[in-house]
Amino acid sequence: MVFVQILLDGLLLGGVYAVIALGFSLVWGIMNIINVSHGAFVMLGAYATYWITTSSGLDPFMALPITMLIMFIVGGIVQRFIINYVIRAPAYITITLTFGLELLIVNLALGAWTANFRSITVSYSGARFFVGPFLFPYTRFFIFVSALVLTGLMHLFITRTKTGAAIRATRMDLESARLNGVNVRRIYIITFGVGAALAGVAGGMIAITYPISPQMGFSYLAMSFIIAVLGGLGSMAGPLIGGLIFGLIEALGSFLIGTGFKGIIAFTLLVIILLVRPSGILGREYY
Amino acid sequence: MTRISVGKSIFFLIVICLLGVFPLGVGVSIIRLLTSIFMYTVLSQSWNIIGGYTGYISFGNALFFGLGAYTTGVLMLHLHTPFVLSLLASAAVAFGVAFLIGIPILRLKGHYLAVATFGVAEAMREVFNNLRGFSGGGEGLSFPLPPGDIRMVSYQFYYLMLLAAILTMIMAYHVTRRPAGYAMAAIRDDEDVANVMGIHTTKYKILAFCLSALFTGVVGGIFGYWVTFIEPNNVFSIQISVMMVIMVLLGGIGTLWGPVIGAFILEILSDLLISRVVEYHGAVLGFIIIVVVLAAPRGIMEIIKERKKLSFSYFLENIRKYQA
Amino acid sequence: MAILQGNKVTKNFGGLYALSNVDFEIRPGEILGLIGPNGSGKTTLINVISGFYPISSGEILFKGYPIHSLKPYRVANLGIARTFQVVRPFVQLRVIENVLVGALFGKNNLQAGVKESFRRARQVLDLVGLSDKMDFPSGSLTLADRKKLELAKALAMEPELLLLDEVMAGLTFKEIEETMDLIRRINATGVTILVIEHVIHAVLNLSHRIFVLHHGEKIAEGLPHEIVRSARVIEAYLGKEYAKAYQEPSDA
Repeated sequence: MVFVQILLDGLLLGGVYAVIALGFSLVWGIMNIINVSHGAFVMLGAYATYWITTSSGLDPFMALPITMLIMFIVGGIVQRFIINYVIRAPAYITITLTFGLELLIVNLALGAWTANFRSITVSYSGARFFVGPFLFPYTRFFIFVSALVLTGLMHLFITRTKTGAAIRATRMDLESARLNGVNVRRIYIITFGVGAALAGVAGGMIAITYPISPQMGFSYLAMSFIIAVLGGLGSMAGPLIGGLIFGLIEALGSFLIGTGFKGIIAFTLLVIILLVRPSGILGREYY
Repeated sequence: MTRISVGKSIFFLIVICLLGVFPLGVGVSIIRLLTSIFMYTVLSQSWNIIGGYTGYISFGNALFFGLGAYTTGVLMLHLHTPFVLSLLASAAVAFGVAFLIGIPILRLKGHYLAVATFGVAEAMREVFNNLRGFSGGGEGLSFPLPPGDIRMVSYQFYYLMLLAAILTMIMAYHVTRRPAGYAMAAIRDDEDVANVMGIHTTKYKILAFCLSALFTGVVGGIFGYWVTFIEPNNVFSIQISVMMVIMVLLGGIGTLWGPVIGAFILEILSDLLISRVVEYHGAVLGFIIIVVVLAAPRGIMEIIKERKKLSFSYFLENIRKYQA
Repeated sequence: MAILQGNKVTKNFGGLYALSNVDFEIRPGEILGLIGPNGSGKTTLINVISGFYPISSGEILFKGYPIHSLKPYRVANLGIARTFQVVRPFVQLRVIENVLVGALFGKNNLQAGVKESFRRARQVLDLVGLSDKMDFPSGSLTLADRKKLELAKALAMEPELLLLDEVMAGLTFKEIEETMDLIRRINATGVTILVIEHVIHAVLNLSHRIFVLHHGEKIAEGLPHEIVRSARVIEAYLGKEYAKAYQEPSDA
């Protein structure tokens, strides 16, 4: 019984992980950029939601869409003025650059907001409902549902809209896309912005559930790598399923073997997959 | 081609002598700073061999640093092995692990190689975090204390790290002059063509990787004894791995003196920042990384080489070079 | 005995057969010309001989020894060198260093030291006419010079068999004449050469024998003046006007 409860808790959190991994995977898959600062965007989103909620009294769930918009703009700016200049660079250039970006963002946040943990509390923070003997905190449940909805919307966006088609075309063949009238610069701004928005809204969701601090982001980066590689770039389902599984395994792992080993298993799995089947389990070459 | 001129040799001898007597007239904190610079010279020059000469960019070389630190630590603490012997063991362990890991990992390139090397280092960090018992697990490992007073100790490590730096430089110098060095350069510039011209690319890639691990492991051991206490999150840290990369980028990737310049500048800068504006030290470092990568990715050595026709447009061109 | 022999060499990529049951032989000391339309499998043939791609079936024997499963560096160490159609210099190395790599690792893999290999590299650069540009960055050369460098890299490997992939593409008439002369001089030192070319007058003049590929199959093999009159070759590749222009005067 406790066991199933733990699994359920893990699953709920997995929804958030899926959103983070989706943003990371999108940027890597479409723009071929490994964004080491992805975790920092999660953190920024968390703080955005925190500040909006505490300074305006708005319900944190209402703050989430605002956070998404803000982070979309932030991402777009970062892309236009920084990432844009390394799109065609070798991998080590973009990785080192985004690492520097991460250092910059996290340390500015540390300086501005100190390392103290902060929490969002709402009137319904502790409320939960029961399904049979199992306990579902309202906040986590709504977050889980939001994450699923978000993933679904992203899927629709990528597959059914004109911009989504342009994004896929850019990935498949940059020159052809250009020749067909796609404004590649704009597409990259939108893609990176969406990636940042996803990271940010996930951060907001985390802020509703857990205390936050400027250094919270880095562990989500490692997780994003693993899910992106396992689930495969170029797949929407991959990060979703990967995120849910990750949440499950994390919960299971903490219960069975303690928190330490999950890191070892995760990284070893990552390396093995890279060596054996880098396209991942569900991945294709493009969306 | 293969011998340095007499003039240059004398110059180096003088520099080394100066470095040799330098500690006698300065305070302990400056000695420590220089010791740190020498250590990072070893790290970045070593990384340069696999990253700069061979073109295989690893983001996990802290793996060898940590393994070296722990090998020396465990041997000295539990088996009471003398320090120098422990360092040799650290070198052997680092070299051996590089060989074993190199065989599968160096089949990867680019992004995948970067993530895989990062993954291996992180996995090892986690392993050591969870290893109770003789290595201390997450609580860390305490080395036996080095003998002598503070000043004597600081001298010892100063000269040790200086020696390590000199040895690493000699190794790097010789590699570039030998067939192996040309094989590595060929692999970097066009691995398929290197293959077709008769180069056993796997052999040379693994050799480069092992050489990059060798002195990295040794200074890991020296580092442990110097700071007396190590823990997995410090010695297997991604920060160390990335520092190696950024120092080499700043100085000049693939050059002989680039890593030295990069280590020198970044360590001094780091030290200054920590002592003046410790809260924003990381932010300034991040900013510098961004600027260097965008405007001067081939580093200071190239700037020096092009100094006669240097202008603002050099940097602008670098910024524009890789955009969409 | 043939220096290089291919029996039923087949290479397919997915469903596309780049080479189909090709039998060929190259005799020691000869210059064998290989012609055919684009996409006929010429470069693929060089790729499988040099070990760049594995073959799908068949066998390739070098001096009687099977080489089709060897890695490219092993093939090179046995004495086979090739050039690339789109030249691939080592861009961060100087001209002399590019050639040095060939001297160090080719047939005499590491038997000569760096100093000796530099000497050999300078000799080769002299032969191809690039001595004055020895210390230039290899990225700064003109097209004709880059083609010479590509050739020099292969020559420095001291091959017994040299595979040239369209070395004359993009050259002026005079440059083509010089290259033909160079190829003859190399051949005179005992190197067997396979020449892929689209510059027909050059390959017809240079080669002792010619063979023709079309859609991955060998459609003709023989002496140059025979090939020029082969109906199949004319239809597949040369075209009637061209063939007429190359009839020997005594046939008219």
